[in-house]
Amino acid sequence: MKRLLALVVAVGLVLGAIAIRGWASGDSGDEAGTGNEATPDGAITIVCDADLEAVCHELELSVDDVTVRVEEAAVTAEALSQANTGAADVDGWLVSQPWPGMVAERRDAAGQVPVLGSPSAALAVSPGVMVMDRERQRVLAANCGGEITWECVGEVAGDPWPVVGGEEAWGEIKPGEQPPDTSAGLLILGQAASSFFGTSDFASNDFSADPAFRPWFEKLARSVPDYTPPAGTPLQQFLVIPASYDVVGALEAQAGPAVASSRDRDRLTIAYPSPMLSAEVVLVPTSPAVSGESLVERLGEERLGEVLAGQGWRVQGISLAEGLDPDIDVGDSAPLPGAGVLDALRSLWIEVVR
Amino acid sequence: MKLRHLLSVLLAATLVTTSCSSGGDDEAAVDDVLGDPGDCIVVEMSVSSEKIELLTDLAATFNESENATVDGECVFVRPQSKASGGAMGLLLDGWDENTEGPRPVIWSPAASAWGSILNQRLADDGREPMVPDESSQFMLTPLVIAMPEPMAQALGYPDTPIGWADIFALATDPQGWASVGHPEWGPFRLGKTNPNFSTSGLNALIAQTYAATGKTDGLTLEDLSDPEVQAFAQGIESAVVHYGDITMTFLNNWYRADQRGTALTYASAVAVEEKSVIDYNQGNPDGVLDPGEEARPPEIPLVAVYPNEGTLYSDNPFFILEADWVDRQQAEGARLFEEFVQQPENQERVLEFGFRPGNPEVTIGTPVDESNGVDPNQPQTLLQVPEPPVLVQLLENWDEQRKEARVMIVLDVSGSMGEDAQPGGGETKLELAKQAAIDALDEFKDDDIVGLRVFTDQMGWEGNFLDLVEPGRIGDVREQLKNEIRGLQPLNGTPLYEVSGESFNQMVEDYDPARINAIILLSDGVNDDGDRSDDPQQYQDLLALLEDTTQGENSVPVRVFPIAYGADADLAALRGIAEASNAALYDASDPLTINKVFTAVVSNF
Repeated sequence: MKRLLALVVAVGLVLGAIAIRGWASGDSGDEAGTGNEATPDGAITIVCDADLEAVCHELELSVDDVTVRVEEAAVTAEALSQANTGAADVDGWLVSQPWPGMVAERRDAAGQVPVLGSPSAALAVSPGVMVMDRERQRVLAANCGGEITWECVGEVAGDPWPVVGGEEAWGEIKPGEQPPDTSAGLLILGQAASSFFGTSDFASNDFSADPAFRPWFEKLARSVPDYTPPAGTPLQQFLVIPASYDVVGALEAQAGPAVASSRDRDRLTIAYPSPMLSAEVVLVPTSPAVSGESLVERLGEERLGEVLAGQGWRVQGISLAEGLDPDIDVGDSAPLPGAGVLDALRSLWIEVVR
Repeated sequence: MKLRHLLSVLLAATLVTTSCSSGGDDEAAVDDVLGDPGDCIVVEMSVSSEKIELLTDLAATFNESENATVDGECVFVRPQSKASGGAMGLLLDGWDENTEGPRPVIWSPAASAWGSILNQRLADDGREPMVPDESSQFMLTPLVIAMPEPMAQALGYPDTPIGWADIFALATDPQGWASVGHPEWGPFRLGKTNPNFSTSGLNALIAQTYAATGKTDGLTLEDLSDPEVQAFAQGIESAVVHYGDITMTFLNNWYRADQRGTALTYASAVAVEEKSVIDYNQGNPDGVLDPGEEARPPEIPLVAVYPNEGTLYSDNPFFILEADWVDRQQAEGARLFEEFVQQPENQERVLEFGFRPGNPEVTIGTPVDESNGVDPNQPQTLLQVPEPPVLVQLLENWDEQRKEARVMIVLDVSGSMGEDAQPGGGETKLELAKQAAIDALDEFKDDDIVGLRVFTDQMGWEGNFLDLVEPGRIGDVREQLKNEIRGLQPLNGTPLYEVSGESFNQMVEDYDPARINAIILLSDGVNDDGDRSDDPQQYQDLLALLEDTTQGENSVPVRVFPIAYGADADLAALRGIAEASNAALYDASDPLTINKVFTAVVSNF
């Protein structure tokens, strides 16, 4: 029996590997390029951004005939950007904007036909936040003119704490940011650059047009410690070992509930830096012939909302999870920088850090 | 020392620790507790020794739970104890299940750095990584500088931050403790384990190097070649009492010294994990209470100094290995167990062992508190583990920077050494010991001074011993030492006490304060000088000599590291000799372990 099971598992793994290879190479065999027709009652597969892993696993458990695969949005985006036609083995991509837009822009620039269908309306929202130790927040805020912004953090990142009035024992000022390969990582990077430019309406040529930008950006990016191998995200690491970072960027959905249940909740504070930028979760079909709304319908809009809200996302009509500030109005969020601009910003990060 | 050499040493050290202390017993105990897995999916686990007891308990509970199922089949988690560096070496070089037990699905070393080094070495060999990109942290404990409370207070504790720079200043000040108004404490004495063997030693080396650079991350090869950084390292090392493979040696000796009222002159500071400070202050210096042993707090407690330059953690990761022997069901079972141990009720149990929970939802409470000399709000800054190439260079530099040693190897060549090492024939005990001693000579630094003395009686030698090689720079006499050892033959009796005393006196006479001064004393039998009537008095006189000379304000710290070799060695007498000189006994009751044991002994230098 065990041998039989092992054989079945092995065959499954091989088939899975072939499917993934097909995704990456675009060799889907779907000559018409129409992808799968998402049938309301058929089995579907969703690929999820790593920041939505918990949401997706809960969906898999609670919705019939749904299979999920979790990977960083950057991996999915790369595969979709290069695919010749469509993605034969998945039906939808649960991710936040502007990742789908980045795929569309890359394909357009390469003269390729669109591969994604129209995204669903935003299913949930979460603003970018900063998590800090209260005492260090107080010291840094005083140095930043009362309010901590990413621009200010970038100016002092990597400097010894005494430079801004902190204690020597705190070491250097260590920002914590996920690499811009996921929903949260890209949003926080975009928020930081928006903070520097004073607006989210900036262009990639501003990176060189403003001679102060590059040094500021390098200081910020290179001051993020690289703890290898990582124990989860910087936020997760920070909650286990507070000394690992000083200013951690994260989505409110990640930070709010985690800080509320943390043993150090009394020492920690969550700030909503200006300008407020928010991640919007969408479900995007991996075929232009399918609409995001039909996939949402298949998964159950209500169920999707409940699961997202349960994981700390703001969903209209559903009460907030513990740890989220009810006084924050995400309607005040600034528009996201353009997809192409964020793609260029991500490339710059990679150039500076890796 | 090249990395491959380092890995083999780590492996040897691990095996020594396993075979000489509790590893074999651990495995038996695990089987007793967990029972037969039957037809369940077995998830083998390799864990560092400090958490074997806890994880065995948790595995027993998990295995009985309803959640321990994959595809309808039961899951059976089975931990076995393997020290971190040793397990890494086995994963790298090929894990022989016949000698090392089952290959693990989950590997939980003491610190994540071991995973980085493994993947780096695999990559160097053109092989795929085994350690996943991410892992959970089961439990944590930071590296601290443990100091007797009065000494820390003399440096301004708890109000003034203390760090490696203060250690450097004291270590290099000719006045020692007199420079801060305490001449009665003598010179500053530092205890550090060998970074090639011990996670604490490795973390201490990294931390002191960062302190020398003023950085908290991004240590580079250029930093390591900076003369100021090298001078800082040599200054720190100059204060070292001796090195060794495990921190327990220091803690046990410190505790015994405390009971005698000489704790402040045995060591001034030792780099250990925070949990060891808790264990010590609770009266359990080695973290293990033997049957009938009662925990008795020390007279002078230790306090944990969290270096103000930052420190590192032992984070006890759970690596679910990406190896060809791990199938999907085992990996899934491993993930279930990983989730299980992160549950708050299970995470609270790590506190019982003095660790901090890896689940941030679980409060850090007793015993990680001020009453045990530690501060749960520390450390204030975390150091980054350097890139593997920097780590390797750091270790190579340490081989040159570590304190030099002056060592006399004293070997028993009594008739019993000619007996077979194992029933049924094969090599004799002496033949195995000779090979082990020859191999261990390569671990000495070229500038170490090493001599060779053999002993037996009725040979007409002066004092029942013969100096085959006078102490000399080993870089010059290594081949001579090897040749003399190769030529040894088993002879007559075992005048253990007499030779121990005379060798010790000679080392005291030639004591060099700039070096670690020590004797390696290998013996396979009880004292036998032809007259048994005076043995008890001889032994007491020997212990008094050792204690009077090596302990107290004006001590001359010559350490005697005995190796109890073979089943007939006088373990109790040799332990007494080790303890009287504030050293450690090494147990090679199984003659086949002598090679590993010799390597471990030489790790003290």
